[in-house]
Formats: sequence, C-alpha cells, structure tokens
Amino acid sequence: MRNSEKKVVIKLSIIIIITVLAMTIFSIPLFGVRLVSILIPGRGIWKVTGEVPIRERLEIPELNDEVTIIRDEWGIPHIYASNDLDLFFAQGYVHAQDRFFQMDMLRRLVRGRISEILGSDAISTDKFNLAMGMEYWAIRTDEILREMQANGTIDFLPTIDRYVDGINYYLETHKQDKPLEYYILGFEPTEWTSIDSLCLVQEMARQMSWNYDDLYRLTSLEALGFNNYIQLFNAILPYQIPICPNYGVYDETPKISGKGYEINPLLVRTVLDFLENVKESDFEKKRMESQNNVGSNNWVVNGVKSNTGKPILANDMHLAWMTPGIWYEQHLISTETNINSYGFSIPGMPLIAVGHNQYVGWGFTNTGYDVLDWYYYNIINETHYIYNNTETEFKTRNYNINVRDSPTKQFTVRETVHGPVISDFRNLDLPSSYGDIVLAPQWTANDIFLNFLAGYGFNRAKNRTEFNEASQYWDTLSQNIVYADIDGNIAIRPTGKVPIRDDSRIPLGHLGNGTIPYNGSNGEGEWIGYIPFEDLPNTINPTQNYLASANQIIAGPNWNYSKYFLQNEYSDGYRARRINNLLSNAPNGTLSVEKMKEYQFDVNSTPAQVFIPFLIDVIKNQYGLTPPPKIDNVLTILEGWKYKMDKDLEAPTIYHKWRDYFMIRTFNDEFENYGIEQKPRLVVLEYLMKEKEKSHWFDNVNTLSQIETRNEIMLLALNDTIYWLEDFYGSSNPSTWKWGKIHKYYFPHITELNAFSKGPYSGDGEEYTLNPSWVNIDFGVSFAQGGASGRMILDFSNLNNSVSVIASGERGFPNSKHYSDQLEQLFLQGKYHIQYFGYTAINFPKSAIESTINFIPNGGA
Amino acid sequence: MKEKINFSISILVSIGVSFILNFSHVWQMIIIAGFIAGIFNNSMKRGALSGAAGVGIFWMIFMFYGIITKNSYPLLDQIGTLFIGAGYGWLIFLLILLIGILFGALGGATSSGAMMLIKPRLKRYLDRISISEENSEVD
Repeated sequence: MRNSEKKVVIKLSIIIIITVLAMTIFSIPLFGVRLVSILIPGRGIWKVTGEVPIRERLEIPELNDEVTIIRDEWGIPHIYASNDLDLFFAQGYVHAQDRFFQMDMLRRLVRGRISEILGSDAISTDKFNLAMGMEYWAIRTDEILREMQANGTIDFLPTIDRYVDGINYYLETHKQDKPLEYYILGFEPTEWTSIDSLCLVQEMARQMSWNYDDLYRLTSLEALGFNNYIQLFNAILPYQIPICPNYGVYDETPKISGKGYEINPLLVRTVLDFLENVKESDFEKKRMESQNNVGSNNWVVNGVKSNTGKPILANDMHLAWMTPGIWYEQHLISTETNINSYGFSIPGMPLIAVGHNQYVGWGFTNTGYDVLDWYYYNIINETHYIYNNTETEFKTRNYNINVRDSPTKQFTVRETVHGPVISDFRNLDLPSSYGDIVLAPQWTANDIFLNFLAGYGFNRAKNRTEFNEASQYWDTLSQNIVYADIDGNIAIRPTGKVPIRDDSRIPLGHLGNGTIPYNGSNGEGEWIGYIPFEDLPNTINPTQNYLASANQIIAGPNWNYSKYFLQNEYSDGYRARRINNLLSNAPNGTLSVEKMKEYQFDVNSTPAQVFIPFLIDVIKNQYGLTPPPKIDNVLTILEGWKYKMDKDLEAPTIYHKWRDYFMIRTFNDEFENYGIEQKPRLVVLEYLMKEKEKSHWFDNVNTLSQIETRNEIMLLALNDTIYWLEDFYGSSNPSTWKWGKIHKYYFPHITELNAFSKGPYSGDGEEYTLNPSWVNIDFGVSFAQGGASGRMILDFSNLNNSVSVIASGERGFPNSKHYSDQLEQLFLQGKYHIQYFGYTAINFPKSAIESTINFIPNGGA
Repeated sequence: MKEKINFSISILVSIGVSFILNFSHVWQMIIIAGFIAGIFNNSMKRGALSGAAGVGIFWMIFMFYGIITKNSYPLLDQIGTLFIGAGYGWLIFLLILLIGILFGALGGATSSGAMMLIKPRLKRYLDRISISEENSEVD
C-alpha cells in the first residue's frame, strides 16, 4: 500500500469512527426525548400541521347524509347535518382534530394510565385515581346505559357511539397528524371509547365536588372545641344572599348550640396522616391547593330589567386555567331533530354543555351541595372490617398498571359498603391501613349517572317544561342551572343528587349532616336516599326580576331545612353581594349586553370596600392628623382608591397584603399552636371586625402579659404589610407597588411544560371580584392559574346578538393561530366574539369562513 | 472543469436523494445522501463539501417551506424553550441544519475516501484484464 493510500485509510477510519459516534450521540434521548429524531426534516415537528385544511372533502362510510363543517374566523366549527347520528359523528371528528392530546391526557388521568406514558413517577397518581373509582363507575354506567338502550328506556346511546366513531375515524385517517406532544412524550394516540367520554364526566365531578372538608373540619373541631369551632366554621356564613330568593333571607347568622363531641384520638391521628399522605399523589396535591378557588358566576335578568324587553343571561365558569382550555366552542345543527345549539363543549364529550339553542339558554355554577361523606371503620385484618357492628369482608377491585420502562404493577383497592379505601393507593404492593382504622368516602359520583341524558334534553329543549324535564337527569356534578328562554322566562335550579342521611345513630355532640366523618362501623350517617328533584330549591320568574348565583348559599331559612340538608361549604358570598348589588340597583329597562360585559369584567373588590374604610378609620383614630410618614403615604393611597383591583394601581397590593396579614395576625397564633390547616373564611373575619370588636380571636395568645385589641391587630398587620412590600418591591415608595407586578395570570399546558404554556400576564382582579383570578402572594409573585374559563352572554330578544369567549383558543396545536387567539386578543381585554348563530351552511358570511369540510356519504355525490 | 461539473452534479444528486430519504423512517439514512454525493468527487474535501451542501441545501429549503406553510417556527421555539430557554427557535433551526451538514459531510467524505482507495485498484484490475486479453489475442 502506498503512503498516500495509507493516509486515506487513516482519514477514512477516523471519519467512520466520528460517524458512528455522532449517530450514537444524536440517538441518545435528552431528558427522555429522542430530540434529533423529532427535529430532522420529514419527521416529528415537520409533520405537525398548525391549521386544518382550508377546503376538504371526505367520503365517509356509514354516513347517512352530507355534513358541512364551517370554521369561522376563530376556528369555531359550525356543523350542519341533517340528522343526529351524522351530527355527533362530525362533532367527534372535530374534537379529535383540534384537541385529541388534551382528551387523551384527561382520560388517561381518570383511568390510571399516566404511568404508561410517563413512567414510575406517576404511579401514585394512577393508583389514587383508580382508587377513587371514577373509571369503575364510568364502566358501570356504560353497561347500564346499554341495558337501558336495549330495553327502550333511553334512545340517545347511538349518538354517543357515533360521536366515538367520529373521533376514531379521525385518528384512523390522520395517523401522521399527531400533535407535537406525542412526539416529545414518545407515545401514540389510541382508540377512544364511550367509557372514555363517561370518564370525563367523572373528572368534572371530581373537579367540582371531591374534597376532604369533613376531615379538615374534624381536626379543627377536635383542636378548637365546639364553641370556638362554631364561631369560625358555622354551617351558615354571615352576609349571605341566597341564590333562590323565594325562601327568605338571613337577617342574622343562626345560633347553634351544642356540646363537645368526644373524638377518638386515633381517628384524628389517622385523618392527619391521611391528609398528609394524600399529597403523595402529585396531581392530587396540586388539586387540593386550588380546590377552594373553583367557582363560577351566572345571572339572568328578565325583560323588565333588560333594555330589550327579553331576558339576558350571563355565565362565566371559574376553573383551573389550561392551554388549551377546558372549553371548546361549537355550533351543532341537526335539521331532523331540530337541534340548533351553540356553546361550550368539553372535548371528549358529545353535545353542548353550556350554551343555548334557538329557544332556551342555560349556564352553570357549582352548587356546593354536600355530596361526599367520609366514614371510618375499625378493621379486623386486611380482608375484613366492622360494619354495622358486624364482621364484613372488603370487596376488592384489581388493576394492572402498565408502567413505561418498568414491569406492570398490580394494584388492589378495597371497598367498604360506602366506598373505596382511598388510603390503599399509598402502598406500592399491598393494601395498607392506618393502625386499626381505615377511611372511605361515599360520593354521589360513585354511582350510575345520566348526565348525558340531561344534556341531550337541554340541547333539544323548546321551553321551560322540557328543560325542567331534562334537568331531573342531571345527577352527578350538581350545578346551579340558570335558565332563560325566548318566551321571557327566567329561572334557576340548583340540581343534582343530594344525599339524605340517617343521623339517628350519631353520638351526642356529633354535628351530623355529613359535616365530619361518620363511624361506619357503627352504622352512623347512612345515606337513605336523595332529595327528590321536586323538593330541591328552585326559582322561576322572581319578582326582583333577576337571579344570580356565585356559589353562595342556595336557599334562605324558609326552605325545608327541617327535613333535608344541603350545603356545608359554599363561597364567602362577596361575588354574590357585588352582582346582586349591581343588578338590584340597575333601573328597569337599562341592562344591556354591553352592561353585562362590563359586569363580567368587573374588578371591584367587595371585601376591599368593607375592610379598607375600617382600616382608614382605625389609622385616623390612632394617629390623628399626623401619622408617621410611611403610614401617611399608605393612607393617602387608600383614601383615594375606588376599590378596583386594577393592575396599574398600588392600592390593591396594599389592601391584599394587609388583608392577608390581618388574617394571619388574628388567627395564626391559635391555629399554629393547634396545628390546624383549615382556615376561617374572610367573611368570618369581616363579621368579627364589624360585629365582635372584642372577640378573643384578636388577642395574640402568645403574648401572655397583654391582650391585643382588634385595632391593634389591624395596625400591626399594616406595619407587617409596609415592611413586606418595601422588601419585596425593593422600594419604600408605595407608588412602585403596582398590583400587576405581583399578581399575574398564567395558563399552563396540561403537561405543565412551560414551552406550551401561556403567560404570565399582569392581571387585574382577585379571588373575590366578579372577574376573578386566584391569588396567593404569601411568598411573592402570584401566578394565578384559575379564574373565568370562558364567558358567555345570551340575548333572548335576538340570539344572534349573543357573544362568548374562551380563555384559550380552539385548537390544541401550539403552532396554530387558534392556539391562544381568543385568550390574547379577546379574553384578557374583556372582549367577546359574535357567534354566527343565525346562519346556515348556505348563507354563512363568506368573509367569516376560514375553512370548510364536507363529509360525503361513501359513494355519494 | 470536469471536476467542477462533477461537484455540481454531486450536489444536485445529493439534494434529490435527500428528498427521497425524507420519506424514510430512519433518520440516520440521511448519510446516504452525502455518501452518494461523495462518489462523484476525487478528493475527500470535495466529497465532504458536496455531501454537506446537498443535505444542507435540501434541509434548509424543507425547513423554510415548513415554516411558511405549516407555521412550524413556533414549534422550533417551543423545543428551544424546553431545552435551552425562551426565544431560541433560531438556534434549534441552526442546530438541525448543522446536523444535516455534518452527516452530509461525513457521508460525502466516506464515499469519496473509499473511492480514492477503490479507484486505483479497480483501474489496476481492469488494466490487468485488458493486458491478459491482449496477450491471449496475440497467442
């Protein structure tokens, strides 16, 4: 071999080694992502299509007739079909086309299949969700619905099946159109089933009603004693304006007397352990932190109040923000069955969940009905427990949990007569228990549910009677359903299953009514039925000419409380006070759609309006005309404030931080000593401040030699506030303490990957404003991750004037212009879009058409 | 002159092969586009250059096309945000391009180097055959 050839061989060898090394290195996953393989042209991200095709014509088997899907300028599909089966097929198709990843993740969450894609870190979350029984009851409901369809009790199941077919048809025909998230996480979309859709109802029920309130109350009661407990956690909160105005008003808070309830210390220890261990599920931990923020507003005015002579209905539902959001706007038309409904749907579920048709409209807020009770039992061994003083065997549910890159995990959930032993999720291999006690919940969602039947009725209702008829099937996921129609009727009906409990066996001093856990072994607090639909509170066409719900108490003292019990938890009532104030003070004939927009975007703080004048008085009383300079600066700002939680103002910052410190200074001395996690409501502090100036709660129990007064605590809280804000903002000049610098909106992606999330945006408002946003500035900047998830205003004088907006965009693809267009161009500015409700596929305005899909029956024209 | 023509042809062929390999499920196959480009060149440097240019040009056109027609840039940006930080979509774009150029160059250098070894041997072998054929004709 010549020298020159030798050189070439050496070079070639080096190049081959470099090639092999480069290929190996670039094939190694980075943070679990095979990055190069998804970036190389022709693969991964280059296959992800941002927008749907502008014009598409698809021949579809088993279609009965042609379907036209027109997407408007916001990417909102208007589906024109001649019959229901084709309509729901098309709805499934577009849900999958725009939001399948979101649907997939939500069903995986409910069905305990997150570890299948994320690995062993998610096992606790999967076990927890499986233990809750959401999937189990979705499967049971599916079975029962099929039996009911077979024996003719219901007739809508084929529409759900066609909806599912539509989703799967899209998946089958668009395997190359996966969203980016599938490439990053490295898994494939799989077939959708009707059970998956039912699982999403369960997920909504979880978001609305799953809670540990009974357990927190027990620990508070045990630590505080009955008298102290009832001062702070009375079942009736002060200053409530009931949702249904026809059952009287609360002139003053009812007085409850009682004796101390002897609480089993082992139970308290078990409960505290349990509450701590529940947080081992990352998902549940996060959900627990945001639980108290879930709420909504809806209100309706009749033709007397409105400027149109017909009702105007407004609704905005306050949920955790997501990108894309929970809602998907849609317009469904089926000429055969006269469906013509527009509104918010949930991807993965057929029908319009909240919206209107050409006759009626409806909106939701959460009721806060007490639909979940916790029971504790003495156990005998791993397989048996005591129920009703009898040895009883646990029922069991067995699961195999597939775990990415790990062997399948076996998991067994034990069930008592009331519900699943949730604590079983903790142990990785074997059922566990806490000493001799286990806890299990009875929850209305752990039952067969018929919400789809109700939803089908809502979408087709022509009047109040038909809507009412449908409402009785709205069983799990109880909601205050506000209603209006083109005939001028307005109504509200807090609807859902509310348990009736047999409290005859509870011991002396037990609060009953599902307030604290029941001793399941002794047969306490058995559910003996649900409150009959016709006995639930409801109001139609009230003399006040409007109705408003904002998660406050449902009914006044004249409702049938001697027979039934409704609520243990509901909101402080500040939003309700504000909207009632606005609507009742509006002169007749003045309320318009534009006014409703103003109200939905209103950031006037009712608590600020209550607390701040008190604080100003206290400052003036204390310091007279010459307060110290720092206090004087703050005083000037507060005196000039109109109580708007405006991001560009500094007064909201001072108010909110002071309010937090006032709460801490009042209660933390006792609560930290007792180790109580449950916090009194702000409205209770308001009551104490206004009515109980000498309350012992204002005294700091840690300063034994002196007794602090309310005024002293308010001023100490102000000093704390100034000190904290100077430190946080790095300036003693209050004009720099802008609310928008510390309060920001954030819309996380469902995977929580920042890259796909939206925000932060400087934000107006707080938890208690009509336009709400969750706030927690304990440790600095608050990234509010919840508030209004969509807004809708319906004008029954002409439904074409109705407007809406969602807090994201229609399409779940980050490279689509509809990923967050509504959020950024409308929602954050308090703007809305029109609904193009009154058009057909023929006369739809050309300028508003962004794309058109035609479904043609196979072999058709 | 002939070398220049060969070099240009090799780039064009490489672009064509890159297009075809775009449909392959195995991304590592892209080296073939460089490899084929290198065959046309007599030096490893030219081979590497033609492979790099062929794959690089095709990938750049492909990516610009994706950015224009599918709005793919936000996805590059998001991938950048995941691994580097916000606003680095352009860096991801460059990285992808560099990967293409690297593998094109490696493929081109490999094949041209291999050709430099094979060609003289092939020539000698063919010469030997023609000599023996001439000898047999003389006999």
